Amino acid sequence: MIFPILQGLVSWRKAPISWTLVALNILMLIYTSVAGRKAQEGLESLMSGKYFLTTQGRIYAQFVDRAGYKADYPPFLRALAEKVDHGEVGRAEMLGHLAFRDLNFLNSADRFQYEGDQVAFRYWQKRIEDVRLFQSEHPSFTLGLNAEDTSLAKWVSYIFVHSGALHLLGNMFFLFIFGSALERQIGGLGVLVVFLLSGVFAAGVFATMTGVTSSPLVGASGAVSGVMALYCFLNWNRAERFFYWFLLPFRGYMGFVYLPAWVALILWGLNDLAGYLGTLPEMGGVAYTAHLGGELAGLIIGGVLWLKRRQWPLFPREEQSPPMGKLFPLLPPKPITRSEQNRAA
Amino acid sequence: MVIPDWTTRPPAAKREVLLTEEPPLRLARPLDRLGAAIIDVAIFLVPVYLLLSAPLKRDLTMSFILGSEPDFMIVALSMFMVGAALLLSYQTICHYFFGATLGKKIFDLRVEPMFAGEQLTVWDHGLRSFLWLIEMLCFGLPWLAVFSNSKRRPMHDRICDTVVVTRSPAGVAAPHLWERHLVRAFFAFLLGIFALIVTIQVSYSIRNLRAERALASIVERDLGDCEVVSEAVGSVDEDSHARLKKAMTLYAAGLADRSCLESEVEGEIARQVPVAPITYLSQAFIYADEAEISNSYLDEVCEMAPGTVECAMSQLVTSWSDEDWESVGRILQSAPKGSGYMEVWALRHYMKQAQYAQALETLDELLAHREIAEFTLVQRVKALFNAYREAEATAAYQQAILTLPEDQAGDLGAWMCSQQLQRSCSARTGVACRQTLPNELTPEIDFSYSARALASVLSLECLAEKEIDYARFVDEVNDSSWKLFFQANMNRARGDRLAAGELFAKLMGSEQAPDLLRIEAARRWVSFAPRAQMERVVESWMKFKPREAWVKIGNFLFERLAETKNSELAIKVATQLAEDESLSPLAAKFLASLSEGERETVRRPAQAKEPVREMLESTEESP
Repeated sequence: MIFPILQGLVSWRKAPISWTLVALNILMLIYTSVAGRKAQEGLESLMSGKYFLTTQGRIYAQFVDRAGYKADYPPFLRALAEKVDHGEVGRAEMLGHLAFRDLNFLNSADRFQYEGDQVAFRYWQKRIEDVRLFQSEHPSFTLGLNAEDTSLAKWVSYIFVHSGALHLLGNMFFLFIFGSALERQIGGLGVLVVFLLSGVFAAGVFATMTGVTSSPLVGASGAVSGVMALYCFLNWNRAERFFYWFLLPFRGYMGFVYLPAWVALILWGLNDLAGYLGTLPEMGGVAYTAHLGGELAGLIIGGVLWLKRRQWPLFPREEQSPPMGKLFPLLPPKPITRSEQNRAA
Repeated sequence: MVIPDWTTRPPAAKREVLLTEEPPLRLARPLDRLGAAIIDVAIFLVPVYLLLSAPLKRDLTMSFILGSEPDFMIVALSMFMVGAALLLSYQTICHYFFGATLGKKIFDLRVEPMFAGEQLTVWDHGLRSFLWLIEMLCFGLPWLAVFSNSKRRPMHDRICDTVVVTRSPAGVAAPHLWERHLVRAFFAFLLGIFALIVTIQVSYSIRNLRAERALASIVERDLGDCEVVSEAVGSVDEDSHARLKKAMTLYAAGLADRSCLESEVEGEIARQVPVAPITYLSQAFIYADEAEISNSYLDEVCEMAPGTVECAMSQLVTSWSDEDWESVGRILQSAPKGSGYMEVWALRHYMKQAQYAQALETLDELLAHREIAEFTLVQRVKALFNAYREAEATAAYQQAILTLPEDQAGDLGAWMCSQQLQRSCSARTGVACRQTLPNELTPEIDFSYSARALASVLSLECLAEKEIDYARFVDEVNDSSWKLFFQANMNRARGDRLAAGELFAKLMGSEQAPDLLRIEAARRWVSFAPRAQMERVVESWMKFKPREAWVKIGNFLFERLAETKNSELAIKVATQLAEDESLSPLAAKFLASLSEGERETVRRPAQAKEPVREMLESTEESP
């Protein structure tokens, strides 16, 4: 296990925007947890019902099979629908879960003609109305990016919504580590712009590569990936502090090590690329394409900063460890500070 | 090429590298080697493997979800091959070109030939990596040789004549004796655990194989059909819902469970059979625990097909759940016959309501349903016995035990034996008790089977010259109802009738206790309750719910009241029983034995109640 620590805990005065962003995300989680509690409980209780999910799976199987829709569905979903049509209950439940992602299907609940158990169908129709009602009250749906509402506001608001404490914790840890370090180089406004731009770009890449579904896209991971990628780009070959633990409780098997910043970007990027290639987009879960989009955004911003390095010099930063040798002349010459000018005078 | 482990001196032509290097090389510490392996895996191999195998992982997920086993196996094998190829190439290339992998470099370790003058070829390194992989597949257990081998060389080092060394002073010497013993002890421990697991697994498999029915039902369940239904239907399918109808009949008779019914409905979906009223009816039973869903199905049945047997069944279920027994009776009277499941529910109703004449008629109607023959045999014996046709019941029992499986025959025998022993100890020599009761005098009684346990206790009481040691049972029995039963008996044996009566009354009113035990508790309470307490006994009986038990207790009560010449209460009980046409012949005989004056007392209030009067008149006429 290895992950970057960089400068560790940076004080509020040195990185106010990073602190503010973290605090804002925490506050949003508290708000969404409280405001969406009833809707969350309602959705969970509906989604945990085997009868409801199985019925939804069977109806969705017919929906996918019907001519006209067939061409739009990936082979995996069509194969699954065919299995369910042949009475495989376990898979009907799975398909029932996947059906929540299909806005077309959910919207056609009241006009779809189901051939089969009509009692189950009427039960499902009644429940799906409840699902829509709960969704309309749930902050993840009202603030997250989903197929029902793809307005520009959602492209920003989704960044600040998290599905749970663990989701938030993971994102905020890296936002704080990289955001606070970056803030000392490009300033608070810079971090804010990078964070938001990366988030918007990540959503765009996600919408293009994976596609927006009725399951909302939430979380700051795309934006954090952008911050991280920019930091690694700006400090490409600089020795950064990493924490490592080799799973053994002995001295020397756990501690800190200095590695070039690109190690973090490579490990992160490889993981996201492997995740993207290794998962079925129909199954949902982690939005790897949003991560990749964020990283791409960070690299693009880094490229622009490098090109404009004369006009927009970076803030100087204290050298914590000697650079390991630059891969290319990235950082601009260190500007003369006011105290140095005074001294020279 | 391989040198034995115990070699302390190399062959004359070969000199150990370790002796010649300057500064002297030391053996690598086992923990450093482990750390190096972890770094290799975590830092390099896992990320690269995740990337290389990502498309395969997607296929693996897909084949898993779609249940395509061959595809899953092929993809899983491919993923393993990718991992193995990556590991082999990484180790081989790193060792051949750099003498160490990334992890080894970090820990300052190196792979060296064991003997001076030897050069390790790329094939040697390839073989070494391959063996390393084999060892990993054996959960890394062969690596423990680093604690026991004199040069700390596991199998891959020994076969390839290599040794892992370090230049740092953190190296180690040959393992101590205690290290070797520790490894051997660990292997012995693992061997013991392995033997234990194998033994448990084998015995478990044998037990499973013995339970062939269970195994077969699992296999059938996987195929989407239920075994008992397949047996009942045979190869001929009259209509597309034939299986489901049979399943409903078997379910009603308790020979198939809800999952069986569910699998039959799934089977119909798989066969693309159109939905019919029987499908909805079955769904109502499948989702019996979810009232809203179940009721929707019941409503739909009559909307879809009014006037059919399915509709009648759905109405029956509703009335049954409301405990509206009159409606149930009316529905059963008017329902179309021949479905099988309707008759089984009718039988259950009649048995529950102690209407044994109707039950016997229904049993005759069920003769055509061979799939529930075992069920009907058992019910016939019970119905005959409860209808006071003991001789016929005994004959039916003797016929039944020839065809019933051993456990069912045992249960039926125990039930009959316990019922007979309640009347007289002479039943011990009867056919039911002879085949049920154990031969030994102090048998181990399993109180989870109430009929068997009651028969055994009654038999023990019959055999005992004086009161049996109830205190022992109080201590030994875990079941709370049975504990209460023995406590009450213990009090009665000590002469504390009041306390005994209280406990028997408590047991009689306990809904958790099995009905057989509640009846027995009532019988015992009635047998010794003083005249002053009898009124309370009658009050308790009047409120008693299970109909079958109510009739039995009522008859015990009447006999006792008649014996003790408690005419007023006897009339009260007789009125209730006669209204239900449930007065036993024995009770009627007792009634006949009353003196003329008492009989007059009995007759007087009976004039107000027509059924009782008729009953009494018929008793007088009987010989």
